[in-house]
Amino acid sequence: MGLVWRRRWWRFLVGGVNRPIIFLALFAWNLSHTAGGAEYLRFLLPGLVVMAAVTASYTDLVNWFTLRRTYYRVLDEYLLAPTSTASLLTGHVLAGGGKGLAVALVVYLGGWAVAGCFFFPLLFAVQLAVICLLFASLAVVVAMIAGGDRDVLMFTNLVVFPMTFFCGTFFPVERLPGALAKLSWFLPLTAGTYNLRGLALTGAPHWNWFGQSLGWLAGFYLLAYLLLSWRRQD
Amino acid sequence: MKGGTEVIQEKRFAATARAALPELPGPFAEIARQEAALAVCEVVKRYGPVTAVDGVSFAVRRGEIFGLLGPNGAGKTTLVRMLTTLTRPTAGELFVGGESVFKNPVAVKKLIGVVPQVNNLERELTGRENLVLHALLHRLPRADRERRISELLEYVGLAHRADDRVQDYSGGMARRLLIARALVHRPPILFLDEPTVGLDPQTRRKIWDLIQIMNRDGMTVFLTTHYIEEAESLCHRVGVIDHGKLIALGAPRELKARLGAFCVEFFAGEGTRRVFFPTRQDAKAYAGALSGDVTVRRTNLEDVFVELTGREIRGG
Repeated sequence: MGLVWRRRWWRFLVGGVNRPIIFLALFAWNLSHTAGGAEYLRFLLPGLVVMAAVTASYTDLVNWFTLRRTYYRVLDEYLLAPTSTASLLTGHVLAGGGKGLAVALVVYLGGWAVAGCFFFPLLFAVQLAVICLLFASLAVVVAMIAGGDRDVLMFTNLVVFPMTFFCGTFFPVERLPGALAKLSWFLPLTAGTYNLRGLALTGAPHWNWFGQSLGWLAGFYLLAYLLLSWRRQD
Repeated sequence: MKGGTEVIQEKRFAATARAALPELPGPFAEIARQEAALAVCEVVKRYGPVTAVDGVSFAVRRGEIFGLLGPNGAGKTTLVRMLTTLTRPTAGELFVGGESVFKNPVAVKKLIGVVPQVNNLERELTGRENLVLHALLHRLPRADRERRISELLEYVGLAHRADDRVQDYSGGMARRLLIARALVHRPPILFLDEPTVGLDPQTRRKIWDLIQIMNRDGMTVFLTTHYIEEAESLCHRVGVIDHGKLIALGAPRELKARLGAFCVEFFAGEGTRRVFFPTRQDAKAYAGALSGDVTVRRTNLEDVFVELTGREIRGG
């Protein structure tokens, strides 16, 4: 995967940074001179970092796996290698998550120029990495189940894309209508987003939210492992 | 046809290999391993209500070019996927190089090279990079890796295009690169699934030459094909498969000899008829008594298939 990425890293980076930067530029342009605008930008930036992390970790890996499994059949080349399923999965999740982390950090640094200084404790990077690995694992899960790229597109549009808006990224979850607010706390992104925002704005960790994120990561990784094992012997 | 006797003999050979390989210690196990490169024992594969492979048993000896011949959809690719660890059988056992395919898949993967029917190269990478990727997946030491890759690119005649992207390769070049990729980790057993399908005659001949050179260098080759000429000119032994069942097994010459070495083909009102004779003289004498368009020719494996199934291989 690294060899292929080396060939097209700039396309990936531009594609991953593109949407969050446009959002940031639009909001900065329209809100920075209004009452509370600057404060909202500081609230928004961690959300955009999460959006970048999710999109970059998930989208590239889910497309990579799905097209290579169902269309190009390149996945067979990986499955024929004398490596364990855990090793194969860990390599892909680390590669996908690593790319997401790189893109998210670029957006975070870009955001500093627009919205001012933020805290950057080590746990911020760790929490961000957990979100990236979580969505890279989800990408493998989806790719193992999907019948083709249309199934992936449908799942992405119905589940992953809404999550990037409704998990505390653009506005607090508490402002969602009752049932939706409760539902949002059961989604894998919300706790991570809140912890990341807390770390960026105050530097203080929320271990409960961090634990929830880790739990989601463990769950999706395990599911991805089981599904990849199943695909290896289907 | 006396194909049944041969199939029973092969079942015994496969069963012996199965019984012997995992249990015999020391030199005995080594002898058993040397005898059977592959053993397929009563293998069944079902996909829902469809039975793709139905109780197939055979063994392939070391250093042999073995061909699995049959029409599209006969179960050839499913069998290759089972032998190469990619698909689990519904029932039965498979051994490669003495290792159980599903008890010890990692050991099997080290022994085999696989050339798939479809081009599954990374199109955005160059030919050389595709081989590097394979070497990394198979953990070849760095010092060995570059030498081996250069050697193989020369071997398949792609050294001059090694640094071009695969998306710019012709079908024949891609197929040769797939073969080179399968050889990077020096496997003693090579699987080729329809290695020349879709290639022009000249490129097909080049691939055949390559397969024969590899076999001369000591490699066991297992290939699937629905091209009669390919099976006849390359394979030491052929298994004929139809609707998931192995219906004949033996050297091409033996299979044809069971029908008769020469064939008289003519149109007989309701369709084309074929009559077989042991000698050309007998065939010519029979043909002389017929009127209309009559052909006297050597029997081929297509005739064997038609006699066994009543259908032509290309007709599927």
